[in-house]
Amino acid sequence: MIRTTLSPSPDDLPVPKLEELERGSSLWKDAWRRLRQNRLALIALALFTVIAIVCVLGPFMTPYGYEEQRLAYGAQGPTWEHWMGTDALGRDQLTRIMHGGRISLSVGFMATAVSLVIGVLYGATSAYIGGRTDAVMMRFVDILYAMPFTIFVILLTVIFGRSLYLIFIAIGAVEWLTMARIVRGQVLTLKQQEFIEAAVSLGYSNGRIILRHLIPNVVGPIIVYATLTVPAVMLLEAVLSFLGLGVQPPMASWGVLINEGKDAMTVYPWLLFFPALFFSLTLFSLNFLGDGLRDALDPKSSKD
Amino acid sequence: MFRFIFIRFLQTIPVLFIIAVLTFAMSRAAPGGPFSQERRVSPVIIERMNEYYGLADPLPVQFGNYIKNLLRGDLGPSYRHEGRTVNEIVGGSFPVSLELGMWSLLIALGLGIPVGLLAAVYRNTLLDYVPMSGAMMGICLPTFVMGPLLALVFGLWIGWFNVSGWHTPADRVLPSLTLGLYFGAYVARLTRGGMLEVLSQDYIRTARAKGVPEFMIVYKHALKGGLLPVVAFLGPALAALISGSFVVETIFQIPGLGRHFVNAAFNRDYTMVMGTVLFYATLLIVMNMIVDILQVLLNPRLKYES
Repeated sequence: MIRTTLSPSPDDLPVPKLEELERGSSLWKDAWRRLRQNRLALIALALFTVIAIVCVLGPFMTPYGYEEQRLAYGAQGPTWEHWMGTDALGRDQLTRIMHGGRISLSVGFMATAVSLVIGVLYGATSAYIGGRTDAVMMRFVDILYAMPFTIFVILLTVIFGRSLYLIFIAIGAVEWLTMARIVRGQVLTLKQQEFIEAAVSLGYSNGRIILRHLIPNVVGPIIVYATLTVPAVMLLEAVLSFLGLGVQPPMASWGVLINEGKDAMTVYPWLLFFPALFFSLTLFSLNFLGDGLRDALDPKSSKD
Repeated sequence: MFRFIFIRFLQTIPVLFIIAVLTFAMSRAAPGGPFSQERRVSPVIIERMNEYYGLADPLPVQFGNYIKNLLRGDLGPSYRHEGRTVNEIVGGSFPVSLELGMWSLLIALGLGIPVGLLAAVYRNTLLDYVPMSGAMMGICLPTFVMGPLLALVFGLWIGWFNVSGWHTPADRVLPSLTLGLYFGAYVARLTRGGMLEVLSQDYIRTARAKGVPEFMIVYKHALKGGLLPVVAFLGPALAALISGSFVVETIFQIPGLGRHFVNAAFNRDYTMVMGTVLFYATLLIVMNMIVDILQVLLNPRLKYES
């Protein structure tokens, strides 16, 4: 069966060459050197770092609480006191954006982590055991690909309430499929090599070989794909929030803020503009960083 | 070829069955029922209503009855839209979503492919950088940001279009652009990547060496192979179009199937949820199958696998 997704296909991703593996850590040195030459990726990395620091540390420095309402200061445009204005309840917009960023970013990273664990273990196990087990396991992935997952995530959040942990798990459980395929493809080529044969002849268990010998060697593609999964996950969370299925108020992720901003945009356009700006800049930086990492970890697949 | 299609067709049956079981289980696991949100209704009446719709039966019996009706093509009555069947609602609202999807796809392909081609042919010039930066911006402006922005600028400030609704032909413009531009950005990037890869192949060099005009090389020799990634993208794009339609139909208040699904999930309208999920799933599976077949037809290097 032929299958592709919005995400990079396994073929796009780096296949470690034998000589690179033998040179050991120099692969990472080379990758870092190549990444530094990629100005766009560096800008993306810097931008993302700044956004992340602002969201994580910012709330400690602002004089306002994210649910602190001061109706007298309701719905002001940007001023010296409130750099990004206030909403109709007089809550400071910048503070809410920073808190929302914490939620959006943690959803992005936690759900990616969940998908990473499932996908890597599943893909590596499937490829390593091989044969009929592999065929059955990958067939299962094919079937799951055909499922309308956004719909299931919507149903799940409707049923079990709007809990942050549920969102982590539901999204993570959806996003692991492509990761499993990528890892499987990598492991299939790796397991033919001598060092695996050596491990087998030393009598190591399958679990140990998979965890200690195979997975460390596919870290490159995993990092690249994970970087590209984070924005995809954040997007899905924002769609849920936008449909009214996000985190509970008064907490608000970026998706919730954008949704509120959309409702108020006719009178207070800044309530839409600033959260949208933060969200788009984050997507932008993560996408460019992912592209840059792909080029850095696999010079052969670079686009030009 | 027919064997391939036939086997793929047979495989869809268990998949749809699993989806039906999952959806049924999930919708029933939710607290509350379709009638629990009514204004004050006495418990006796709710009991009666549950009995009337067969909601008092044990769950396996309910599921069995549902499947029996489903095999006859009957999706059951809606619990929230009095007097209307799910078939009627889906039949009435899907054409709206379909139209939205078609316009968006048209915009995405009509804009994305030429832009990607241009960027690939004039690689590393201004004609590459400017449109590709635009495409990157398009990817970073998801539908729920783009939609309100377009409505704000072209609906409110300039006043060319209505902010919401689905009545006049002009009402189609903003929603279709919202969805279409996002996918157009992907298509442009994929076209450029595919074309660059093909243009570096040996047979293109052979064609150049033989003195084939550059125009012919691009359109006759390279285009078919260069568009393969775009064709492969159409399958997942369709799934994304469906979830995109939830958002766009909410923003512009379009009476399409996407909005009905979201409302049905909120309202515990069991039959509506089941019906829409199964409908979307069938649509997705069939379209994925068509995309797979198209890919093999366009790329003889791929083989049918069953």
